[in-house]
Amino acid sequence: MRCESSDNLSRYIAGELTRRQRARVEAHLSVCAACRAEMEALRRLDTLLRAVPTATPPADLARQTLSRARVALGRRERRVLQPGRLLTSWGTMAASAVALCLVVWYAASLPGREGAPPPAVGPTEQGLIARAASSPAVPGTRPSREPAAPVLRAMQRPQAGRETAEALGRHAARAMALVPNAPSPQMSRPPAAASSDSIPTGDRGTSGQEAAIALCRATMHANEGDDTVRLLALENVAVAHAGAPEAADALLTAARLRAAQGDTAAADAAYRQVTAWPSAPVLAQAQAYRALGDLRRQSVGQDELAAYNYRRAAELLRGAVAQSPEAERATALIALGEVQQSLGDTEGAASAYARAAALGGDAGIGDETGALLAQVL
Amino acid sequence: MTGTFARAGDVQLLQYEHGESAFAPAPAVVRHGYVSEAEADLIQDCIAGDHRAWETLIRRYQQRVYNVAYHMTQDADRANDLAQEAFLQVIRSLHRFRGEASLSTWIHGLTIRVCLHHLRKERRRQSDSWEDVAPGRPEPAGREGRPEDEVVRDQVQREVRLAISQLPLKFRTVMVLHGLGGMTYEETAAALGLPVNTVKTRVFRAKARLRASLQHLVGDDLDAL
Repeated sequence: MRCESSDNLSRYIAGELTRRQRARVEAHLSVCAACRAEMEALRRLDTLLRAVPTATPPADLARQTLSRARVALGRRERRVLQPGRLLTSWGTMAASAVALCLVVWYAASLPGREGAPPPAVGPTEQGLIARAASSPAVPGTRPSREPAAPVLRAMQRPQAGRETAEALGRHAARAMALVPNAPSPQMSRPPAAASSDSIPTGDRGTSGQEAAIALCRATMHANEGDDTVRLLALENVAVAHAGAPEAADALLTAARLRAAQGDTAAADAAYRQVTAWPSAPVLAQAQAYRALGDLRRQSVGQDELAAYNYRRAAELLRGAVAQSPEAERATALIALGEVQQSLGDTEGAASAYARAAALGGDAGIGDETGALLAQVL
Repeated sequence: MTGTFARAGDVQLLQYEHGESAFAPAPAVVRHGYVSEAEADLIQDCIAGDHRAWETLIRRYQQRVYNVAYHMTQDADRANDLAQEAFLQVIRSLHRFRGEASLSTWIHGLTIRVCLHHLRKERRRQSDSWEDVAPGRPEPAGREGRPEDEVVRDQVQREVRLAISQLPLKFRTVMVLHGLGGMTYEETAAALGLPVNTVKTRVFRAKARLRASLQHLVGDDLDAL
């Protein structure tokens, strides 16, 4: 009888042979002392292999690796806004540079000034824009949200990139009217003409709002439809309002713009930042998770990560539906319906839309969702 | 790897068919081959460039990554460098992680590729320059004042590791992951991007070679070990 190979005996030990092969090997082992010794040797080899201890990494492996990662991946790191340590020295310089560019851009775009020297920008305006880059550097500074929110909403409107500067100006003017104790500014006139008392220069608590407004003003006077400028302004607003709900909204909008421009890595980072921002409104976090889901779904083979993000969004929205005042519940329900649709849960989506419609929140429901709603009504 | 993610809307944990088994005890989030939502969060935080997430990931897998690098090279200094390089690659490439294998398996595969790249480059360099292979710095033995049986056991383990390090790379990789790492055939196949049957064949052939090169050990009485 022919002896078994080591390879075959290893398979036998590992239980990798078919019943027939196993019977054959066993029959051979019963009569062949050499193969029995060989099998015993292989079993001892397995014992030896199992006895080899794990190697212990150096105590500072993690620290060394992190240092290398920070150097090697530093550019990527800087794109991420970190609440509480937003304005590093690099961030301050970058934000200041952006603010300066905006001022120059604004000055160059003033109507009727072609060929003329750039108009002087009043010290107040400069001061405001400069504060945009530095105002909330102190952690925990949270400007009140009221006056700035309409400005941000105006900037975040999806079609804003195509709107005229005048239209944006109207939104900003309405926002300015909400600033407590401030005269309503004439936003249609060139900002350079705005007197120093037309914009409140109050305490640190309002500087964030003012900074946002100043940046919005610079943005709206920039070239119509220029998403790049709008994007920079939004990201500066996010910096200026670090820790405030508006910052998350601004960052969310900036992320959408980044995604629209094809910079999915930056968009991804910004969406993740919104999901991790403790003070971000639940709706903004849910929208960020949904957007992350959309990004993942666009990537081949990331369907499960997409579903994971959609589920997180749905989870947050269900909480929002349960806790929101009635006026906002419809919005949360519509968002929940959209996420359910993304998850392929048509029935759940239709149910959410139906509840939203019952609350009178069906104004924002589009054709497709309306059709879904029709199925359940 | 034959496991698949759970369908959307299923229970929170995403389970694989095969259990997790690696060099060190796996952390709770991935034990038994689970990819938990916490781990999915960690992955996304790493992709977003969160340094704390990087650190968590590194600390969670450093033991296993270093172990692979050490057994591939048998050199503590090179293993340290390669483990760092592997983690850099992991962080850079996490956005490509598609959940087709557990994160642990994926990291093992990437670590092996980093090691293979280094070893092949080194072999080419040595082949060009006719250099002798520089002996690596082994892990400190610390045998002073220890009982004799421990010293003997260390010596035996050293010989086993040396025998593995002298296997051709295609056999060494499967032995490091499967034979020393305790990964299943399926996990090893997923980590290396090979068919399962190929992995099995390589494991058995590698063992046949080891059995021959360690004849003086496997033929002796091992009760003392």
